[in-house]
Amino acid sequence: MKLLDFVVPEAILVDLKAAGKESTIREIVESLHRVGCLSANDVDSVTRAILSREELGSTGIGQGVAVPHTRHPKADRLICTVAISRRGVDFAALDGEPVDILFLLVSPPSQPGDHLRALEIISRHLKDERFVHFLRQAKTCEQVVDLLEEADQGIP
Amino acid sequence: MTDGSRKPPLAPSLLEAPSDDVDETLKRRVEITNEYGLHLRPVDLFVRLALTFQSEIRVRHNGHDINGKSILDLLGLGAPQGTVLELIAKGPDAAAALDALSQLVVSSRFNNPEDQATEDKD
Repeated sequence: MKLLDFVVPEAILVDLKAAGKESTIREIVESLHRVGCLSANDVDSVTRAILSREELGSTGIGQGVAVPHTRHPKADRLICTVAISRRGVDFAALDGEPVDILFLLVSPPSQPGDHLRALEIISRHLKDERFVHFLRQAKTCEQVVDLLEEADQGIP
Repeated sequence: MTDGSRKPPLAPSLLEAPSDDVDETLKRRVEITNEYGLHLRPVDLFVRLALTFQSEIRVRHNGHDINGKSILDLLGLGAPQGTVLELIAKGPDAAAALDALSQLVVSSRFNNPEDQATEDKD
């Protein structure tokens, strides 16, 4: 499995408008809706499910990165997108640092393996400081896609 | 002159009795029984607990040897249910660390499959 197998390129956001945790999650979920991955009726439900998951423990995993996610019955396959915040969002991360890179995942409850594998792949790339650095610098959706493609080619 | 009988001075440290706070290295194997595998929430619990010990915690699996105090390292294992991990603790509290971590892995909070409040069926 590769990043671009589950990251929806059209939904990538390189300049999040939202400043708070809840509004940030909503903005990203709405982006998935805008490109047709989720119906309008599901935006609220998916946003709430992701926020409930955050209440159990922040998905801010350090170094300015968060992976908000939910297993949701409305997802018919694993979907994910990347969002970058220029100002940083307080995500109550383990290391206390604001988050500026987000990988938001929605996965079908029936496919726990895909969810685990996606987290594995994202984590492995996030350990590459160069990848994270360039992701932070990306100004356009195309630049993010190029980086993801490059990362996908680098890992066997 | 007693040139021939002169002994080189012994370094004082070599004369001291071995200290009894030598770091221990201990190993234990644990099985991941969480039905969703080692996903973020159990990893978070594991790392938070590991960080409370001074000892270095390593986790070995499938040729990987990773830092047990790093969320990215543990998530990067992508370990599904049934995976057997080797935990290695090195340091003054190695035994306590292994006890605590292996108890966590079999605990109900580590294995709770529900990681969200929503129970929507449709």
